[in-house]
Amino acid sequence: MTQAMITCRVCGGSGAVQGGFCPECFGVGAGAMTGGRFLFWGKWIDEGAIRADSIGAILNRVLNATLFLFGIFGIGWLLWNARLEPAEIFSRMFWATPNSAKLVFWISAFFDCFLVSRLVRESLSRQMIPRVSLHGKSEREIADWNDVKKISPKQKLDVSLVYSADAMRVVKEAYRLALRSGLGEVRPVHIFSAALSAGDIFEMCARLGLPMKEMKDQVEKITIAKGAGNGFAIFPEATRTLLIDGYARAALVGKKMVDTVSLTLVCIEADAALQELLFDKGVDMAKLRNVARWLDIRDEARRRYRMFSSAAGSRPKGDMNRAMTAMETRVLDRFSDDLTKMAGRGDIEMCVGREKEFEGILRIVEGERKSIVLVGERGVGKEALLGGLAWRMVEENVPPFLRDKRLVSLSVPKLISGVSPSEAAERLFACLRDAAMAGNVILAIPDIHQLAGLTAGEAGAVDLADMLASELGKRYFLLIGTCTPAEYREHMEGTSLGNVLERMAVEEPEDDEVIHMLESKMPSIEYRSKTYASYDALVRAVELSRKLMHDTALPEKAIDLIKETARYVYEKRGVRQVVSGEDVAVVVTEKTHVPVSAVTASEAEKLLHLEDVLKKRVVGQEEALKLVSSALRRSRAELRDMKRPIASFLFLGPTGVGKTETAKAVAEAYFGSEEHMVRLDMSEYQEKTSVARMIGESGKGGLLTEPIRKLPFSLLLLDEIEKAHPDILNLFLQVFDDGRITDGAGRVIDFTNAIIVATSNAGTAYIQERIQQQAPLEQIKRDLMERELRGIFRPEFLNRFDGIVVYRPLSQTDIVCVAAIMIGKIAKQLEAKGIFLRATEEAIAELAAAGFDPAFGARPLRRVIQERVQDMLAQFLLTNKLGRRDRVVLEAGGAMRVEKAKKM
Amino acid sequence: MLQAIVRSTVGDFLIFPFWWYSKGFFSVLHAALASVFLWQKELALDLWVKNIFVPMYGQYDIAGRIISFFMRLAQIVGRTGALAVWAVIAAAGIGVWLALPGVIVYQIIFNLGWL
Repeated sequence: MTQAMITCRVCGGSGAVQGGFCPECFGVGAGAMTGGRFLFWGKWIDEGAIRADSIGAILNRVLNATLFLFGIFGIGWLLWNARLEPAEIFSRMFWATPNSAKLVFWISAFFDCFLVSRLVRESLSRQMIPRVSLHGKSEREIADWNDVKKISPKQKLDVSLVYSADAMRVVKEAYRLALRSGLGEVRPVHIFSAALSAGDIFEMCARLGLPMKEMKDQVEKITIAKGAGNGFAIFPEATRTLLIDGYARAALVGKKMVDTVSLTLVCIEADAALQELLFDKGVDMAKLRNVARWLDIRDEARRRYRMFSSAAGSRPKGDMNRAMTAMETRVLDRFSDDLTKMAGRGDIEMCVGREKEFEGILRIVEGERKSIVLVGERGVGKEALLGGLAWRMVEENVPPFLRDKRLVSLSVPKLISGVSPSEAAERLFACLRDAAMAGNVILAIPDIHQLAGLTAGEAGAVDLADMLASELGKRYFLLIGTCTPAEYREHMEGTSLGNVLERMAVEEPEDDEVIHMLESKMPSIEYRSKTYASYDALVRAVELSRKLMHDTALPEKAIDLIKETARYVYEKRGVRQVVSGEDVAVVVTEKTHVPVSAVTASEAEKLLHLEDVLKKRVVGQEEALKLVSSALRRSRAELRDMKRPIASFLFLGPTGVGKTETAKAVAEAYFGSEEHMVRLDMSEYQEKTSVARMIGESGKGGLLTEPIRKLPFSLLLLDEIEKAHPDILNLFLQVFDDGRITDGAGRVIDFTNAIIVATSNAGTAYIQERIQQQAPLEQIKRDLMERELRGIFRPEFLNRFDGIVVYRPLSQTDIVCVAAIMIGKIAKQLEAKGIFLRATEEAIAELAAAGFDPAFGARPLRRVIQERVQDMLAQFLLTNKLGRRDRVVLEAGGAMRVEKAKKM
Repeated sequence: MLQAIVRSTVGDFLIFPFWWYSKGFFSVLHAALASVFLWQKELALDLWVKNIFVPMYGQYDIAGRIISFFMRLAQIVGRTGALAVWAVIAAAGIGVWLALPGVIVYQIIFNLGWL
């Protein structure tokens, strides 16, 4: 963080020679030029100094208390001895005659002055980190310690003076640990070990889910006595560097003093062994930095809130500005909320981050004096930006042009509700007139596009949006509107209102920024839900909401998710419980039916034997089931390429062999139900124009993109893919490669959570012929890819699939199994009615024989079972020949015997 | 160690009168001036002076302008008075700071006459 250290050549940077001060640098040892100042650690620490500090602090307190009591005694003595009436003190006569009591009183007053001088000096000596940039200034060239001596005292900064009491206590405790270890020098691990007992570090560990006792034990093992020692320990150059780095880190994040968090963080950054220890517990540097930032945000929020309260207190409470040049805004007030007033009352939450957006808004508003429209997806924080601007206006942390002004949010629904468009136009005009006349109003209109299309006058001559645009053109007031990109494109692009407003995009923030935003919201969420969130919960909320929730944007969806999870934990486990990352995953799984929570033992068992689960539905296709199962296992263990679909397969084979059934079985096994299957019959997309139908056009979603946008975790079944137009196949090339495409509304549709299964009958004749010749499936697959499918699919298309699976035609034996499965399904349906169905082996064999067709596989079987079994059952049920607890037996020859149950 | 602490406390006691009239005085002066500036900010006197000819409540007609002028004048006089009172209090505080040690020493010497 800091520049290269300059080291004293006599002591080598430790500041000590044989346990005492170095005569060359007087204990400073080393330092670095940063931000135009020479930074060094100037406090001498050894056992004597630590003891002197603590005794000195006690004596200080005792002396101050004594002086105070003496002052009280002086007054008391005066009153007691003179037996005075209090009023007499103010008489001239009283003070004109000397006496002992007055002498004692005046001496005590003299000591009171001494006490005042001590207290004022103490408060003046408490230094804060100076507000200077750590970077950017051209550093003075310093070659060696002789140059350091030439630096004026004003340019030197002893960083130990801005260490907080807690941080200083940690440094002293670290010295004692180093002394006990016998290592002879203070190392980062000693500082870390000492810091573990500090309040903030305890909170950091709790947020990270680190077991404190285990941590302490492990760190103790590292710091345990290594030798006898020589009775003292030094602060080597490396340790001095990190003490200065602690200062640099605290200064960079805007702290007033160096705190234990900054010190601990730089210690861990400097020590690979500590990083390893934490890494073993699942904590890396990125996590640590973000949790440290969490505590910074907490402190910053408290500081800002104090400043805000004082600023809000001195702000005019009404609609009037300080100079009283403004006017009443009676009409506007009816249809709006005064955001600055709400912020002053504490009704609007603080806005964290978004510096770039605020800069943009202020630059346009102040520099160009233009009105703005904030364009961003729902939930991206456009309204939070307006709230943040209101906060800044209350704090007066805005350019002079915006100070002493009101940010007023006009509600379009309030404006137009219950009236005709022409009345709404009148209302809008009156509001705009109010804003213009008042002179201290900045108008905000959320969802400004709602004004478009509202017409008044004869034959809709006046559009409300046009009216607003015309008023804005006069530049009597400024406006900040909001809308989504789709709404902007549809209602505002190219219109007069669109032209008069400067468009400013509000993008979804990066993950780290969202985490910081969540961190700023956590105090109120934790307070309301009476729970305590781990850092992992925040990260999972951001990750999973970004991946799985597509209705709104970040950060809103992550905030909603963490709120819901906190509530869930409170309801399930009660108060003062930790909200973990796994809790977030469980809530997401419940909401989306997507298995994102950790693989449980029973689920792992199910995944390991997935083939067996699929085999219960699909008969005779071992290779296909094995391939699909392996892909699903890889995905669940997160060993796949996360930027592509979960898996993509091409199922080749004759009709009726179980291709679609496999897809259904996979959807049920992986996503929990067959409902998670999106089926497209590709024979309907044979024209070139079909591409537009698939991805949508003119701001609308397509037949492919819309279901996947709404249900990103699903199995996409593309039936008869060979019939689709080649342009459609090209579209899928992109899906297979990038895992996403852009739909007609300009939205990026994510396919990384989908399994894509394409089926095709292409090459069926060849497959059947080769199977009859008993050729191995691998050979058939190779031939298909190299020759038979060449004219149908391009090689690059075939190569994109994770697996091409050849389905073998079903044999007579397979059909018997299929028939048994189908009868089993019917039996299950009857079970719900309390009726039991059983079929004899002969009956099943008969059904299989009747339903078998080498050309159509098991397809005719469904019809046969419908005619011979389901139709008869329906007749029995409708004629009340079947009742609850009855048994139906399907026998050879198509006979159906009913075994009536005993009457109860 | 104890000796060093006692020595430093005694040193503190001996230099405190010098501190009182040097650094101590400047810090009290600074605090007094800061309080006057803060009060000025609260009263927004500069804003009232700057806007003396600007009509209040957006009343741009002649009557509005005349009434506003006199109203603002009255406000300026009132606010200046309030600021002046505070400035006098702050100045009195500085005076007390400067006079206190002298008065105390005089009273001690005077009351020593009792002996």
